[in-house]
Amino acid sequence: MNVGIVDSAMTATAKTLGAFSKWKPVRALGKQFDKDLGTALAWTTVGSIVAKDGVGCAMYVYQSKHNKEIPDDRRRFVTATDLTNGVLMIVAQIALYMGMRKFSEPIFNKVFKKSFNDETMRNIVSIVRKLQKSMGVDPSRKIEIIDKINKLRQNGLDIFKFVLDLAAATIVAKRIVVPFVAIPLASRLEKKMLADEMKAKGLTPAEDENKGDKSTPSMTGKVEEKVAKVEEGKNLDTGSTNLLSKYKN
Amino acid sequence: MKVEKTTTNYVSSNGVKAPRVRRTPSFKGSPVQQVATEAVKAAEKFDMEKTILNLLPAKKAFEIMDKFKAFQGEAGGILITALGTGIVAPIVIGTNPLVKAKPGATEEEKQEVKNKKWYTAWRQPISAILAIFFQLGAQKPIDKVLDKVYNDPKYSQYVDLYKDQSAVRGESYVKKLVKADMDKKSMRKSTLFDYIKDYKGAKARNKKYNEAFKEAVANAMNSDIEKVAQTIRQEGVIKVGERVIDNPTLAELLNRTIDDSLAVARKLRINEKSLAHYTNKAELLMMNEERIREVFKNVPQDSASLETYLKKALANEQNKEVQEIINDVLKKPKDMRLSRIERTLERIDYIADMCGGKGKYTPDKYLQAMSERNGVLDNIITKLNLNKIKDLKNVTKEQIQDAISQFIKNSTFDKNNELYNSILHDTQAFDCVKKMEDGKLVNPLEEKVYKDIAKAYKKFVSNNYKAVNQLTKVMVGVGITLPITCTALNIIYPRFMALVFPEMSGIKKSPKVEEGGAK
Repeated sequence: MNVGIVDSAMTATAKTLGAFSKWKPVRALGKQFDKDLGTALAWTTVGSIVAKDGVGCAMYVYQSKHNKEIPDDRRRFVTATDLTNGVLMIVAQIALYMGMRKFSEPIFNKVFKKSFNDETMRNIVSIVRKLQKSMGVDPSRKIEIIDKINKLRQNGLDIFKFVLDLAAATIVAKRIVVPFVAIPLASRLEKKMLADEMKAKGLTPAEDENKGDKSTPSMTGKVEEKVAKVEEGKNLDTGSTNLLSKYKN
Repeated sequence: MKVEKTTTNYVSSNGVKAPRVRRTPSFKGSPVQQVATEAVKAAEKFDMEKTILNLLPAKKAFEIMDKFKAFQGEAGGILITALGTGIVAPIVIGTNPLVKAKPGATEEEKQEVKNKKWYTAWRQPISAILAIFFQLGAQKPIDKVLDKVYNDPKYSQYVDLYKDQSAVRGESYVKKLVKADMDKKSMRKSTLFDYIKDYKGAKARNKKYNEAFKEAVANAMNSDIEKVAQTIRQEGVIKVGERVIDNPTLAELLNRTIDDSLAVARKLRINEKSLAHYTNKAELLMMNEERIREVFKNVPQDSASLETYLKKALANEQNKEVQEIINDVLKKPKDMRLSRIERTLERIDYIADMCGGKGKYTPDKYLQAMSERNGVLDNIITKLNLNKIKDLKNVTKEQIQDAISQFIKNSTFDKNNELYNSILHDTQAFDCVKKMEDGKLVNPLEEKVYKDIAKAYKKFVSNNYKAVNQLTKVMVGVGITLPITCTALNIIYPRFMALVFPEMSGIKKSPKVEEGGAK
């Protein structure tokens, strides 16, 4: 009975996956993988990371924009930060990934220069042939040994490139560059959003009271004080872990 | 199966022609054939890739990179992202100088901003651990289902033909089958208990198991290749269950196989730059042939004595060109000097052979011989290029079969033709060795070509499968495991912080927050 259920489930899965595998875009992707496996794998992996960030960004922006528990003035900043973070993450990751792809091979060549220079290649060829002779094996042709060395080099290069390109995108761009750029940009976006809102209401945006103070409003605690007055005594903790939703406390 | 004795002439370092054991041996039992059998056994044991890896100065780095190969793809992306999220992000967030207290803030306010920064920073390692747990954890079950669907003919009949691996099963699927088979035969790996009871015995048992496992996997995969090769040879098609690979794809696979042989022929060709180098080198060797032979005659075999001998020879040598050659040897690592000497002497013999024998060397003859070699290779390159099927769209089964026959013919050379033999010997793409099979003289290259097409087909299907595998993982990641990870983070993060860092969470300051709890 159980075997029958498992088998039916597997057949249904196979039929679904089968239809998916015959889908034109999947076939086209298959062609790309067949053409250049390393590049296709790397691009789909970075595509996956960017897609996840895109979905995450959309979720956060939607959540913060519609979260009525966040006071209006804070909601703008939270939404602005989520949006700036998301867009910057996607753009920076793609940019650094593409940039690093041009540098990773020269870096590999520099790091492993000693392993693949002419002298080492010649030495490896001689030692391999010597070992073969000592074992009673026909010494291989030079091109065969060089081919094997190049294959080993190519395998190493593929993995090195994969790791370095992705590390540049997901570690340097996403975790180092974006956090430093996102906060000041979010402040600008927040001001623009406020100006747009005021304009829509037919009001003139107020003069900046804190001229010269470059700190982010929500972080300096200025808005926080105002909110504390308005919402005094109310427990605003929703348990949300949205990065900036914590500002409401 | 009978295999004919196969030997070719080999000019040894001392210039004497000695019988040279070829890769395809005889098994008739004579002393020469016994040597051949042993040579084959040794060749089987000789793992060139492992040897080369051991010789690389950056051996360790390449071993580590090789281990990471299994993670190339979605799993690698998850791991690298988690590394950034778990280690780099908290440091950047926690120490971000752009997020600071307002000017003139009190110590308490400053502490509050610091707490907020680190509160936010702690979210990252928790998020990374959850991503590894859910997203990386999902990879194996996905692979398990996909492996079954795309390798088991019962289910693979529903998938795209180019991704159906049932005729050339993937390694991970074959490993699973072999393991199940070995389990059935009650063959198992040693457990921790076995090791405690009898360490040596358990270790030996494990070694035996691993060897048997590796062999069974290799045999199963080879058998797939052989079956596909056999079908192409006999029926002119690639069968995948009830389905058949279309002619244009089969023709494309043949073209790729021809391309591999073309690459070998092109590498054997001597280009203009190398021609000048070889001519100068030949001149240097041949003009000093007598003296070189004299210096390198009866050299000591152990490296210490050889070094003393070479240094002494260098000091006593008047001829600057010979000094240069001795210096070349001395520049080599100690354990390679002897083989360098042998290679130099071999080179002299080889150049002499190219010019028609001992004492017949002239630069012109050598250049002419080199041009002649290139001519032979150019001829092969032209023929192989003509073998390739141009009109892939309208190609017929018969045309493919004909192209394969022509390809085999153009890759086989007459072993009695010394020129061809000297250029193409021991290249796996070209062969002259014939063997007896069921009373008939057959060309083993024929078998190799069909196997190569089968291997090209395996690579083609495997690459297409990798595309759908990767895409499925991305879709599952974005659509299922990412929302699960986010939800889990929403639940775990506030609770973890409240439990481990109550002060950072502001619980002490606002007891009401604690009352409300982390939802």
